[in-house]
Formats: sequence, C-alpha cells, structure tokens
Amino acid sequence: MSDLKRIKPWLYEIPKSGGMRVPGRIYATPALMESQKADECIQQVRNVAHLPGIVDYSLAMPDFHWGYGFPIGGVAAFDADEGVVSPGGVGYDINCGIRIVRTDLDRAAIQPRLREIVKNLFHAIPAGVGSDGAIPTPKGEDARAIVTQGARWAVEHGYGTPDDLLHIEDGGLYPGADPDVVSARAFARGMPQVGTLGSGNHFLEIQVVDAVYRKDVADHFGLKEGTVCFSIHSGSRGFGYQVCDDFLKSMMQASKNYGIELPDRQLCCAPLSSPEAKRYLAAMACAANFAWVNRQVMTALTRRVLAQTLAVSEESLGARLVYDVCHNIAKFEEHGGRKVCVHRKGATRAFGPGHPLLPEAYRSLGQPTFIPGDMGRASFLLVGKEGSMRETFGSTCHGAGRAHSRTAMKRMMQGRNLFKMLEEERGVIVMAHGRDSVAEEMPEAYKDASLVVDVMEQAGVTDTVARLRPIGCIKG
Amino acid sequence: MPYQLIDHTGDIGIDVSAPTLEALFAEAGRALFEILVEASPGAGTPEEFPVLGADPPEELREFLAELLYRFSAERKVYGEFAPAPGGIRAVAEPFDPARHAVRTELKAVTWHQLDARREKDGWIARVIFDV
Repeated sequence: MSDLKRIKPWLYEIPKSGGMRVPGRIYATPALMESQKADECIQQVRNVAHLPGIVDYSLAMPDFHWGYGFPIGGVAAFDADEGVVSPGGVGYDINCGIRIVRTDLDRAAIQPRLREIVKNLFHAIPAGVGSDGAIPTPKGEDARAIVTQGARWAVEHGYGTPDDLLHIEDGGLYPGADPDVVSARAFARGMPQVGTLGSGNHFLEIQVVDAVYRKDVADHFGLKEGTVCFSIHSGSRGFGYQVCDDFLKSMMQASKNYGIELPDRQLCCAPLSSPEAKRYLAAMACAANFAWVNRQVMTALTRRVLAQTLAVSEESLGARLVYDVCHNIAKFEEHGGRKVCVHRKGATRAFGPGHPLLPEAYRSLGQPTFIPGDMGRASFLLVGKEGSMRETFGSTCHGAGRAHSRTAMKRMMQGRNLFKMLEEERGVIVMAHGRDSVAEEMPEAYKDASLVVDVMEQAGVTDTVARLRPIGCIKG
Repeated sequence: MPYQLIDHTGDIGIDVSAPTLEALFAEAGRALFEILVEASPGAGTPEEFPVLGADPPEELREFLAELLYRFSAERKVYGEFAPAPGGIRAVAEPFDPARHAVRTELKAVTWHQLDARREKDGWIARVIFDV
C-alpha cells in the first residue's frame, strides 16, 4: 500500500508503475480503506490498468473488495478503437443486478401478515443451490426469445406490465444478442433456472422507507416515510456463469494471438474490433437479457404472492418498478466525447440529469440507483449527478462491500441462532435454505453502506434520496 | 489436512496438497463437493473424467469446472474421488435436497491466482471459486 496517495478526502490514487498504462483510483475514506485487507484489491486495480486501450484510470468504487481478475467495485473504460473487452471485467454472473419496486402499502398494512408473506415468497420463488422450476422450463424458440428479447419476453408472457419496461436500464434489452454463439451447455444449465433467486449474496427483501433526504426526487419515485418496497438482487444464474466460463477459454487464446500480456489470467481479453470480442459481446448480451427476464419473472411472482396473502388485487398494491440496474456488465457509451466500452464489475451505472439514455420520466432527476446494505441495516436509493460523468464514467457503488471473508463469518457465527438474532436484534424475518449462506451474509460481514454512499455523495457522483430498512428477507 | 479454505473476502478459495498430481485432483474434487453440499458418499455410479488442458493448473480448473457443470445442469453429486488411468474416477449420485444438505452455491471455478505445481514433497494447488 506504500505508493497509495490520498489526493482528496474521499479519493486515493495509485501512480503508474511497471506495465500500468494509466494510474489507479480508489474512492474511499481512510476508514473504508482500513476496514478490510485492501492489498489484494489494490493489486487488482493495478492489474486492470495494464489492459490495452484503458482510458484515464482504473477505478474502484468505495464498496471495493478482493474479487477475481477485476476487483469487486471495479470500473474501467476502454477506447472503442484501441481497447479490449474482458469477460473477467464483467464477471460470471453477467447482469447480476438489482431492482426496487415501491408499493402503496405502509408498514401497518403488512406487519400482521409479514411472517406469512415471507413464508409464501420463500415457497413461490425457488432459491438456493441448484434451484429451478419457478416457471415451466422454456425450450426451443422460447429459450431463444428470452435471450434475444430480454424483459419484454417476460411481460408478453404475463410476467409484469409494459410500464415495468420503461423503468429498467436500457429498457431491459441488451441489443445484438445472438443465441447461436452460446453453447448448448449454457442453455442446459440456465433455462430451468428462469425465475429463481440463486444463492450467495442474492436475496429478495421487503423494506420500509425510514428516511427521505431529497423529498422532490422521492415524491417523483412514489416514496415517502413508511412506504413498503421490495427489492430483488439476482442475475443470469447458470446461463451467465456458463457463458463467461466458455468465453474465458477462447479469450485466453485470443490474448495470446493478439500479443496481450496479462498480469492475471482471469483478465484475458480481446481487442473490441476482433471477431472474438464481437462473439463474446453477442453472448454476453444473451446472458444480460436472461438476467432481466429472471428478475422480471420474480417481480411478477412477488406481486402475486403479496396480493394473495393480503387478499387484495394486484392492481391495488400499486407495486410499480422504480428502477432496475445492472451490476456486472460491459457497455458501449460515450464519455468525454469518446466512444468507450465501460466495464462495471460490481458497480452501477449512475448517469447524471439530462442524459439521453435515461427514461423520460427520470431524465431531469438523474438515474436512480439502489444500494442494498446488508440483511440487518439500511439500504439507500440514490440518483446520479453530473459528477459521475466527470469522475467515474457515469458509475457509482453497488452495495456495502464485504469487510470479512465468508470463512471468517462462518467461524464468527458458529453456534448462534442467526434467524433469531436477525429477528430479535434487527427486526427482520429471514428465511433461507442454507444456514451457511446466512452466516456468510450476516450484517457483520459488510461495511456500513451509509459510509459507502457518503463517499459517492462527497465526490459529487450521486445524491442520497432515501434510506430503507429491511423487515423481511428470503435467501438461498 | 489435505486442503484448506482461503480467507478470500467475497468468494471461496482452497489450497490443496497431495503426493501426486492425480491425488491433487481427487482432493480438489472432494473439496469442491464439501463446499457445495453435505454429500453422503456411498452407492452410486462410477464415472471417469479425462484430464484435459495445456498445463496442470488448466487441467485442474477444467476438471473442477466439469464437475460443477454436471452438478448444476445434470444435478449429480460426486464422491469417492480416486485416480484412474488417464484421469480421475468419482462416484455420482443424483442430487437429492433431502439427503444432500445444501451449503454454498458456487458459480464458477475462476482463473484468478490459479496454481498447480510440483513442490519438493509433492503437489500443491490454489483455486478460487466465484460464490
């Protein structure tokens, strides 16, 4: 860590050294920097800076931690002509992302039935290792349509409303998807899992707005103190994992063919203009579309469960999607008048007000972004500011960021009744398939999300609109 | 202990050691399934896995990625790993949530810090899984 320079109260710089083509920058306060073993992550920021065509900086958001290849929280933009695409910079869980849905319900309306709601959600939405069967396994043309049409396929098949599509990053469709470049294995592994949550840090959470910081924006999103919301964090399941795995192998060969020296094999990549890159991007698009269908189906199932359990109509819930954002993706965007391919690995797009890619309803406000905290503490709704366009290629953090390893958490939580602890000490009813996954994801595993979003606010990247507290959660 | 969990922040890693390369693969396969499920070893069908790759680290990753694929897509749990001519043999059982209590889902076997090499006393390897 010796060459780290603190250049602003919220920003550290790693000067260029060795094969680095640009400096590295980490958005963090000293407290966040010291909250974990940062060395591995700093090395990963350095490694990314070695890749050809990288523009300005290799960045890490304040929820950064040790990943594989890129750090989690890593953002890097590559020149569209000179740069590369790296499947490791997107990750295995392509378009892992999160969405938040607001409702007309308040806490008093659901509290008496909360336990039943959590239980019914747990049964309706498969979660955990090898979970499948939320909907009949799509086959043939349906399977191809899912990966080429994205969220629209789900809406056309009765999962959600056309209004949902207006509130998803890029309308829930990544263009250029080509199912013919995706392996049969990816289809075999992924299709039974449409509409399933998965395991690890994926969750479905019921929350209540408990503080509003920007009333003007919160009003626009239909949020006020006491509003019940739900959020879904999941990705492209086995489909995306297999796409990434398949393409890492071809990219390993491509890196050799194009003479690209790699500090870590996980960073293998190909020039954006190469056939290898084009094939990967067409497959990545399929996985991104799969992920949107997945979150869209779970949204519809959640609305159904809420309505049935509360014995009301779905329409009367007022369950409107606020926004759906990607966490793991590579996208062509324009920054500083230059076309670049922005890789976000555990980071969220957060365009400032006026950006033409924002939905009309939000264009004057900036892009909404939802930052989940942990199972016991707060989550935050943010909006992008002008600073994100200057500083971070229109990006912000994506979560609280881990502070303790999974193995350390299991040791720490051994012999404790975690479900009881979460309910009695934190007021959250949790249902999960695996005890280990709860131990690994206990609030103590994470940094305090409020410290993370504060950094992005200080940097002028995002503004905090509202804080939400979890009251119910289902996990794998 | 022939394998140890690494304190990786977001994911899970293993350090494995064994007297031979084949035993190293068998041990890593066993570790993979111990992380995934509480497998009950015993009655099942033996299956063989050829060892493919340009070098030992790649061979090990390919072997583990194949196991993970068969677990995810074919819903099989493997145990009783042992060296076999030209590869590794393991006993496959159908995944049964009632008998195989779930632990942690692994998304993939990564290339990050991937290592498998001969040391003075045998073979060692490091593998990091995406959780």
